Amino acid sequence: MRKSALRLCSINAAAETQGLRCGMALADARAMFPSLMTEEEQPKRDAAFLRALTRWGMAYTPWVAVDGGDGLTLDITGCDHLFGGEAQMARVMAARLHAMHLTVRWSLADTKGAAWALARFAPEPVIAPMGGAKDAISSLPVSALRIDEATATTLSRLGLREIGDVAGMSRGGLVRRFGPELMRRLDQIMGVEAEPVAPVQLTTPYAVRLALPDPIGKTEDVMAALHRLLERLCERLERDQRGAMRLSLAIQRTDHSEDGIGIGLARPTRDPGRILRLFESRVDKLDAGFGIDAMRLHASATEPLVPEQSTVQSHAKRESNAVTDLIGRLGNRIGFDRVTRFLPAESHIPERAFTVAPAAYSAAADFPHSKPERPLVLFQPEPIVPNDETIPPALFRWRGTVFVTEHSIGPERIAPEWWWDDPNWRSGVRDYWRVQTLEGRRLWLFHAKGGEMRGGWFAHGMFG
Amino acid sequence: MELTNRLKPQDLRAGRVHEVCGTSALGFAAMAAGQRAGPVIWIEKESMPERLCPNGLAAFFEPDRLVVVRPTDGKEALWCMEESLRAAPSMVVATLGTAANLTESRRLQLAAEAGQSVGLCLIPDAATSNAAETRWRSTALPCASQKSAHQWELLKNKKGILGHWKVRWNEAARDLTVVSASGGRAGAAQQSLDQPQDTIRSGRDAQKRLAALLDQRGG
Repeated sequence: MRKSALRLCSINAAAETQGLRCGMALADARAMFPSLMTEEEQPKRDAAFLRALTRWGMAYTPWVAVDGGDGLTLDITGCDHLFGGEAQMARVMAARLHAMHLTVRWSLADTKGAAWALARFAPEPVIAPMGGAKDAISSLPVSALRIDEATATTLSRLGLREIGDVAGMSRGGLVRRFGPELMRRLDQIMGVEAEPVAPVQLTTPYAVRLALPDPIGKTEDVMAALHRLLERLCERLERDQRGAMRLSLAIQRTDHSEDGIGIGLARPTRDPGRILRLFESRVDKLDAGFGIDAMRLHASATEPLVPEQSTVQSHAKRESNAVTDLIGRLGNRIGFDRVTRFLPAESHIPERAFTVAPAAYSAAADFPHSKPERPLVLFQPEPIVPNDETIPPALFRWRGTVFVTEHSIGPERIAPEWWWDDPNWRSGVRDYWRVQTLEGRRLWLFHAKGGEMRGGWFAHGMFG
Repeated sequence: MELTNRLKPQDLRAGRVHEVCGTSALGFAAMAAGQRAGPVIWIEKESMPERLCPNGLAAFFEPDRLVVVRPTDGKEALWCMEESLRAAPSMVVATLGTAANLTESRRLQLAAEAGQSVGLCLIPDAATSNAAETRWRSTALPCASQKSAHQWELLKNKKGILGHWKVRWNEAARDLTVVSASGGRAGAAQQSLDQPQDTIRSGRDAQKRLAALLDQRGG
């Protein structure tokens, strides 16, 4: 869908000879040829195909870059002699691409811009001689400058239809009229301004696959196959000193349908046994159907994992692997945000003196010993109903039960942090009391006053 | 005395699941965790309004040993507890809301045995019968001094005798001091409840107590 109509984005040679053009509305094209066969554009798959083609290009030069949505740029500086010169090399590559049933337009020039323009706008593949780019491109239309459509249209209206026309104009005038972009493109195409080819970083995914001679379906068989995959994968991770953080297992059934499961790990790991245990509870979720033909295991996220030298100190501090595994297993089932640990924080507000962090992604930290005593559990302040005026109340009702104060320790005054507008603290300064009740509960009560909101007595926590 | 010493509450048997109820069950759990080295896995249901406060727990054990798991429902909580018990020698404390039934507690027992860890369920009251190794009731005792004392009653013990203890937590040493102990035959704990103590257990009693207090004041 472009410009509010379905349009043709790519056509084959036969269609072109019939007068169809890219960018034509589908309705118009259908009107011309009711028997036109179309398929929806799939930009993602096109991009993936281009990336794959990049890998193919690596056979000729290490400098291969994806260029826009429809092209590759190869910097063959210093590579052409290996294939018998520029012309020979280009011929070989074109022939091989043709053998792959690809229609390719290509050209060769001194600069990236010139090669781009020639490949797309020259009627025939051009091999521009050394220093001859300027001549080769001068008769190409201005849109070959890689400028936006509006600029190209304006230039054409001004009578500057070819690159040669634009190159002959005074620079100052062009910059004033069209901004620096046009000049930059012109400089790039002429080789005045450098424009290097940024090659794609090829990262081999940490993935292994296993094709099975006979389909399998039993859980034990899948686990055994998975174990083999894991051993191979972990060997590779070991070589690169990395550990897996996320793994996905994809299966292909005999009827070519697919299924998959994924797990996350609390800490980078490359121990096949430990990863296998995490998969144990998940494997049952796979539907083997008529049997599994092939399996692929992919570590989609990895992190550096350097072998550590264990010292007495570090060993004492570090949690055992078993606990890390447990965190991973619990996290995979109930969610990593539900498996937490406490980290100390700088605040005198009781509920802000610590933070809660997912245990999988945080390291344990020492807590300062807190004085005065804090309760074991905190809850949202709950109003209590005191029976008399004494401080703290000798008798009060909390959660539907009457409590009698046996003795109390306090007050401990805690003021809200002025830079932090916490709705709970709008009731003002609090005087906290540790109250031992005759009923056995030890509660943390406070009396708030002097704030924007109504104060009074509240229960905030419970001691053991 | 030797008998009672052997039964000291800090010896929650490893590889077993225990239960505790009472008003200071939380304190019991914190103290039990403080008596053991190694990781502490604390499982509490998402729906509970109470949230653990690490600064308070620090008086009992180092909060860096603690991992808090918050499952959404009871079944998941049981699964988490089983996995945790089985994983490593650790202390697993769980607030399940209700006591586990016979099947569930038996499963937990097996998991604890496999992992050689200690399980401790915080239960609302001691009414159920299941496969728990021991069942305790912990009550905070009112006492004049700043240091709080706890009354621990052993209500059920599969491998031994019952008893009750008055204990204090020594914060500096992170250790338990048994103030007074009485071991005894089965049923002794029940008798101890009848002993005259300055403790009132139910809301209704509190009302009576209140009336008495008001009378005193009036007089």
